[in-house]
Amino acid sequence: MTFETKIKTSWCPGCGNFAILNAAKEVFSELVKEGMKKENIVVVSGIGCHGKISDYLDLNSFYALHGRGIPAMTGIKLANAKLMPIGFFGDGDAYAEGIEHLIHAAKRNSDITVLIHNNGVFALTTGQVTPVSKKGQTDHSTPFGNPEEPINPLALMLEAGATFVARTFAGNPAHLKKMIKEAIKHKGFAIVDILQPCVTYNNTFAEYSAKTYEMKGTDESKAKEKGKIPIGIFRKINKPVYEDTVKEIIE
Amino acid sequence: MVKEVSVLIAGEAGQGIDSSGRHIGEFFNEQGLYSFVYKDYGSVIRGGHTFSVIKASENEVLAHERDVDVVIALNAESLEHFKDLKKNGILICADNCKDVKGFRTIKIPFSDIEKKFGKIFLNSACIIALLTVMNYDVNDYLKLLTKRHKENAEVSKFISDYVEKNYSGMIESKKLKTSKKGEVVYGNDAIAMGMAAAGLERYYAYPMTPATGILHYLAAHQKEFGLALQPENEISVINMALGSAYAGKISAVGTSGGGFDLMHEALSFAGTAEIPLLVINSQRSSSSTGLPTYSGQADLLSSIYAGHGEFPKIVVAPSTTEEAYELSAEALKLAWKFQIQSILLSDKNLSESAKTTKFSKVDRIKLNFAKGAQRYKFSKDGISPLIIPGVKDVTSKITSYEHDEFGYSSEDGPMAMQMQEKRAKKRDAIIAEMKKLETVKTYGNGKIAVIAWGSAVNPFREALKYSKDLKIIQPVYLEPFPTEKIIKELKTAKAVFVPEYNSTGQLSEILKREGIWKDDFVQMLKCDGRPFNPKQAAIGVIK
Repeated sequence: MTFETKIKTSWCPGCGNFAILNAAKEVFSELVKEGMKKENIVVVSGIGCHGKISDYLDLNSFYALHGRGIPAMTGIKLANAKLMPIGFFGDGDAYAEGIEHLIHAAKRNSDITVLIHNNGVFALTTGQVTPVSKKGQTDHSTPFGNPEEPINPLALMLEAGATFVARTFAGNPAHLKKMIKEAIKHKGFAIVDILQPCVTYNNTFAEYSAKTYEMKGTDESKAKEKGKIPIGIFRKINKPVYEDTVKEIIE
Repeated sequence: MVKEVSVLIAGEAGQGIDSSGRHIGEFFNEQGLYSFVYKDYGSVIRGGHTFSVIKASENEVLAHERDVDVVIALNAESLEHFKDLKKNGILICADNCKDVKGFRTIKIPFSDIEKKFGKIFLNSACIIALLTVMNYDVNDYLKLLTKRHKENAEVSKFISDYVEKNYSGMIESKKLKTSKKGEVVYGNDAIAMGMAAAGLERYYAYPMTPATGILHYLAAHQKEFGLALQPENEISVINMALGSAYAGKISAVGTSGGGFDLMHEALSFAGTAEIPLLVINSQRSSSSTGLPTYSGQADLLSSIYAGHGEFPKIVVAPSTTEEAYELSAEALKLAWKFQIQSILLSDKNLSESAKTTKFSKVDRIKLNFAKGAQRYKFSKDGISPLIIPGVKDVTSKITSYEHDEFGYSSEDGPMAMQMQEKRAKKRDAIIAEMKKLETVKTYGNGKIAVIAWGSAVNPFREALKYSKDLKIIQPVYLEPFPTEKIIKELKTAKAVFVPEYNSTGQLSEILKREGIWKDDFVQMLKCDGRPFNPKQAAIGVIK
């Protein structure tokens, strides 16, 4: 299965989004082979460069409003438990506009998968800082340097109660694919923060290539590590999922 | 002569005024009278003045009058309500209250009763005194009470005997009693029941007065219809609902003005993506946080024009519990039929008042899902086959971008025009459908026309009891506006009044837009959050 559509990609050559799209296609292909029904996959995306992935995948898709894809995913899951909502969101989308939804979806352990295309910049709007941009980063809206400290989204997700928390790097295709697959297979709220260079507005490829390393095992404390950047799974636990809990009332 | 009685019960928040109002209303309803219960309260849980007015009559009651036959005052401040008493009215209070001259007063020996029986509820004690004076069997009242409110039968008998002994001259010789007409239903419950009867499966809401009652009712009845859930905010509420509706479940959301504003972006998305949804906006008074527990009609234009860009929608405004039931079902049905967003405008007066109600039957929505991948297939009436995810050989793609027939985002100029024309065609189809619906109702046949919408209709329908010169014209649907029908109904009018609960005359604006308005039309605007008083309403339009 190729999941190709008639729509031509419009990402910049060398964009990290290609790696995420390719890894996702491979994972979907494997999952379908392993028995997942294609018609039950629902791709949900936000607005930003990442969001175009909805148009590039021959699958059910819900191309949501900026920041609002996460509640839509919970709504989809609450409507039909067989559906597998898989969300692709930018760091602007999920960590700025829609951060309340992210926190609450993690808190309620909604059975959805959230993949963050984290490139540290609003790219589709030609370069502005996001909540994960470094202090001092200069962009069109911060010509004198970003005045704010970045948040640590993974520490935030751990605190909010996410049951699967991972980080990967778009420049490490094998690891990327593994993390996406693990996240989709996890029952409960799964988030993967995908470090993704933006070749045009925030090219972090060299930095991430030098600093990332693959963690051994699962270690929550590594989520706050400074300097080197651990990639891998920080938490993977089982807890009752929201959609099952609320449906128990009526079934 | 129509037999009727009005009772005002007042006290501070926390003294059980709300439940007392409900119980008195239910009691009269059990006796076969038509009950109406209005509650007036502030945005507080404890402290602060609050009162309920219960009117019961042999005829249907749609709104209360400010002058009443009985005042039950549970604290000293409430004694001021003697000003609302009719001549020869009865004041019921505890024995420590100061005397109010000129009225018949029943004083309950509250401290003696507590010494003898321990702690009792003053509200129940006063209601027992009221019912004794009205010659009713107080045991019928005790039967209505829940465990939490249950008064000791012994205490009740003591109070009853005390009233009979000390106020024997005031006891009515005959009680009002006839066959039961229906159940006492609150507006919010009627909206909830109507949606559930039509086949609602998912309801999402964030608490917001005066719409919260819908969430409470549905949450308590989830086993019967589906899920009622409270997400983190109204933005989440509507986006969850859109997720559920996309996946094929009949969904609705409910809120008040501020929450409705938060939903506008998603409403525009739903319009573009053609996701069916019912949104209930129960209006409060004024703008911003406003008067949260008082009523208003200031969201009419913001509902009709809600959301950026252009997309067809329906706005419907029930005035009574019966209409709330029928129209919430109908609005939900139309949302799915045309794959659009219906907005049901309620307000505090409708949502949080109760009346004797008998529902008619509503149809259950039947959904047919299609196969294929053309979610936005062009058609004569603009309506595409509904396709949902989770069905073999179906690809259901929806998007907030402008798009092609398959749901792929498209910025192609001709496609953008075609797709917007497609959605506009649905509005024509809705207008055609509306010819078959009761989009305008009229009451009375006089030469003085009153064009009113929503709960503002009720005091004027009551005013028909005082004047045969009136004709009430109610646009039930406000978008698309039933212009032709309104013009037809206005033909015989010698004078036209347009009462509304807002400060700028929003219905008047629509009448102007539609070319209905004439220079001699008279606006009657009231924006203090309180309903029109039927008698004053009648006087206002007749003089």
